[in-house]
Amino acid sequence: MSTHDNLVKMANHIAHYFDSEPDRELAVQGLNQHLRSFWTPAMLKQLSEKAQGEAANDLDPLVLRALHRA
Amino acid sequence: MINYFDPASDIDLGTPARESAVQVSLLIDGRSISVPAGTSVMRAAALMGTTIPKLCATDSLEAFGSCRMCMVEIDGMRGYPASCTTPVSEGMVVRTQTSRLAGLRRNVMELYISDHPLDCLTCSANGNCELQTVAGQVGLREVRYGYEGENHLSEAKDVSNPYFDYEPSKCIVCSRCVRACEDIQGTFALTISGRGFESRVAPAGGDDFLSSECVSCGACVQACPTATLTEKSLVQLGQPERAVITTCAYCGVGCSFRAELKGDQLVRMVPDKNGGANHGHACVKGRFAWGYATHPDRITKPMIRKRLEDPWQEVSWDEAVTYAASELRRIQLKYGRDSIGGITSSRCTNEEAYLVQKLVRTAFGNNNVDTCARVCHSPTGYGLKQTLGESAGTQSFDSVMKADVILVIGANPTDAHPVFGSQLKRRLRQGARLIVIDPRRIDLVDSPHARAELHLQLRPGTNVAMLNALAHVIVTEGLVRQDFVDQRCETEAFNRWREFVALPEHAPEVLGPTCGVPAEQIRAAARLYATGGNAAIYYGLGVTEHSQGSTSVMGIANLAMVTGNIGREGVGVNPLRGQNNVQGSCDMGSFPHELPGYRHISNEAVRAEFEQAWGVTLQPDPGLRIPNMFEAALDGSFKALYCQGEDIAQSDPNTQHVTAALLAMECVIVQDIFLNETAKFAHVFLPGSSFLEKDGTFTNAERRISRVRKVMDPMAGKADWEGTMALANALGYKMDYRHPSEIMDEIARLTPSFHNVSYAELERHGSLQWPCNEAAPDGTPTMHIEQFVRGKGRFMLTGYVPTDEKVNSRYPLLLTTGRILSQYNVGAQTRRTGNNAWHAEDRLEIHPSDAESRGINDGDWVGIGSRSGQTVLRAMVSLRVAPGVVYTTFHFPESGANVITTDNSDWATNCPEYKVTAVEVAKVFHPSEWQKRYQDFSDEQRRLLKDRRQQQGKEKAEVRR
Repeated sequence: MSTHDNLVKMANHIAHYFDSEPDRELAVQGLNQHLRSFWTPAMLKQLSEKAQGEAANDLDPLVLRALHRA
Repeated sequence: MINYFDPASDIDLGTPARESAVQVSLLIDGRSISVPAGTSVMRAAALMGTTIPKLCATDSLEAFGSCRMCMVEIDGMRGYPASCTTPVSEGMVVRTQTSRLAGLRRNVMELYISDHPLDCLTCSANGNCELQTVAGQVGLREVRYGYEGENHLSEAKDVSNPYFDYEPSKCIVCSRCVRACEDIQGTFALTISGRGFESRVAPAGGDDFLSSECVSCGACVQACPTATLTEKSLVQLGQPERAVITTCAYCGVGCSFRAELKGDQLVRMVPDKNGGANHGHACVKGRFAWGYATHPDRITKPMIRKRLEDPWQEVSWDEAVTYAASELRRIQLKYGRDSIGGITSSRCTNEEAYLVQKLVRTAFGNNNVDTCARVCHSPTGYGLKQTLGESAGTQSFDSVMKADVILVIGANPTDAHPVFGSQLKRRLRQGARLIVIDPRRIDLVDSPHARAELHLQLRPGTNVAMLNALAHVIVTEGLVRQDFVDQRCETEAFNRWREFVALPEHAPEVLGPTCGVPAEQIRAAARLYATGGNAAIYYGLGVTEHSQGSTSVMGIANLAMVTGNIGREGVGVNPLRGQNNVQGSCDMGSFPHELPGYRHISNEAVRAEFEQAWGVTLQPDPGLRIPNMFEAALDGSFKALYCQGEDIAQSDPNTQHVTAALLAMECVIVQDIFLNETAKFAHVFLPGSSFLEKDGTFTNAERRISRVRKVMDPMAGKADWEGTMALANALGYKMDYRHPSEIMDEIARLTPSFHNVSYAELERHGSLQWPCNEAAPDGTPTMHIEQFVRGKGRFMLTGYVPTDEKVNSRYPLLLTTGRILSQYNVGAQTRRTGNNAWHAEDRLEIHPSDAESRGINDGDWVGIGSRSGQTVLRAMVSLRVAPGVVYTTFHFPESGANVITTDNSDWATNCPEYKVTAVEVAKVFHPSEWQKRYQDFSDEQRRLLKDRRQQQGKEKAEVRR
């Protein structure tokens, strides 16, 4: 698995934690905050680039919303 | 519970201390003394400096009253009562020395000596023999019975144990060893066999000590008043001359030891009875397995090489750090500032971890620093910070003595934290009730006089489902401590959580089948935990090393809050930390997103404080975690690593992924005491120092900061902190600490929870539990008493997300990994000691039904294959694991346990999912392909080490320049 695939996997994994959050706005905020607290700017940039390409289909919609917020 | 440190208090007072609000006054030999009610006459006398002869009594054990040496006269009492078993009473008048007592004691002593070898001059206990001392005290001058009668003098020595001998001819059958094994260690391996003259000490379950049930903790050796049970090192070297109090470098219990020396030679390590964590107890590792520190495999000269195919070249420290610095700068120039990073060690001191992270943030100029907590307790840091507000356990170990219900989940204390395991078992023998939640039938489930009332043998990977089911029962059966929740926790978060766990999908009847545990057992466990009095949760890597490790930690904190089991002794959330200083390395800012004291790097005010102190501008964003470093290395953007006291090539998951990442780097700098697995991929080797060779501090699982004191000079000329300083200076960032105490002073200045910590205060207290500051100058044994560190406790939602690692027809079994008592983590230390006598190889535990269906017998070679890789181990058919589950340890590199584990990890922290790997097992006859490659590579690296070139005069080493 390449680094970029791993970033997608990790981001989706974090998103799944927020699946149990009934308030989806809070879920987006939580995911956004988590990525900004623990990921390097370079990793975030790579993920954002993935989200703008074909890999968008592989990303959980919550990740896309969280990235949009960032 | 704070013990003031007093080296002079290492005097045996005969019987244990008693706590009582009532003071009792009495007269002993005409002198008045007042002691707590319940104190023995013997102890009262000892406290006033009066020695009463004794043989079967020692203050680590309850009185036994068998030797008849300690008899005294007491007004109003008939005969000559034993002072060890007689409690003081108000107005009591005691005489300890009369001519009648002297005669009686001499008579008893004559009987002992008539059956004792009179080889005092050549005896290993000479100079420290209680029998000899008492013979002197009572004035023994003759043995009227002679020595020719029936005796035990010809009994054979048992030398089977690698660390101590049993010489029965010297035994006086005082039962101290038997009682130590029962009362202190809780193993009940020793007994007195036979009656009367035939009475002898015997280890149970084997023909000799080694093959018996003895766990070699050393409590019996410590208790023995003669040379009957004696350390082999003492037999060989003689009595020590001096002692230095220091802290063990094995597990997170952090036992205090007296390193007893003869000149600079370590004779033995004896557990310190003033130790706040261990109170005079130890385990086979700390007590005996210290020989690695002077093992011939130690590398004591810095080495460098250009390529991994080149022989190593020994160089001076200056040349090594200059070369390392030039490589780091070359790489940063070529690939960018963020292309390098460092790893701090959880085996090194706080001061050393602090320096490495400081080096990375200042001299490297980035935040690419991480530590081995990444692969063990990083979810603890995350989960407890989110819920309670602080990334640490809430209690002291002693707190367990006030627990009524003990819930152990994903931990195996008797193997991995043995001294705490013994304390826990002591509490169970006093009547506390035990719940074990674990896929394996660990020893605690059914050990002598300590059994689990409930063992919820869940399937690996279902902890969160289990915790949600337990919470469901508490919420739906009205077991919530509403007053506590209302006062102490965020109301809105609680209401949301209550609604969440109350959903029917979280009922034990629904989640029980997922966990593989009957619903009724889950309900019983929840009811017991919520209503059984003080309830404490102890957990380990069986909770954290999962894809939902952080969720589980939050689930545990939720349970403690909803039942009000937090903020006093006897309760709490207790992570059992793996390595000696894993708590400390985290406290010291080793994570890439945090500065010391768990403060986020994005916090401008905090960053400004450090920038002013360190004289640099800090990067405001988090750096790379260890797995991110590997990914970046394979991606071509991470090119150099400084790794201190850590063996990522063995300990981290998916070994082939890790080694590929190491191979992709241009400069790997390893600082270690041995050429470990990671060092085989290194270009610069900086020789490390063992815990015996430096000053510093370790912080254990109960936040206890204890001194590590230098016992001998560093074999490589520099302690690890000095090596880091040399590298920093070579990089142009000045570090000029003269002693680790100056580093601690800097840590204390910059870290609010450490403001009152200094070496002077540690000397005064013996140890200190943080937070230790203006608000808590003597430290904080129990946290969150009035309020949580974050103010109000926060309940977090904990949805169960099954792991991606699933069994199927190709990989039908679940592998889980762990540790064993005699070996420690990657085994670099314990494999180089006599501990191999108990565990010389990693084995695969497999249930008899799974073994039978595959035609596997005990001892067969079996191949274990997962989606990551394959390895071969020997099978151990065992009922400890449930059908469908297999288990192994990872102490030997050639086992390749981590070749099988995957790179799945905790969603929040990337802590690897070591505990769940889908595998298939089959009988084989050859090592795996990986093992063959490993052996070839390892043999070649050992050859390159053996053929290393010594530095000749001013000749320059052949390296990249």
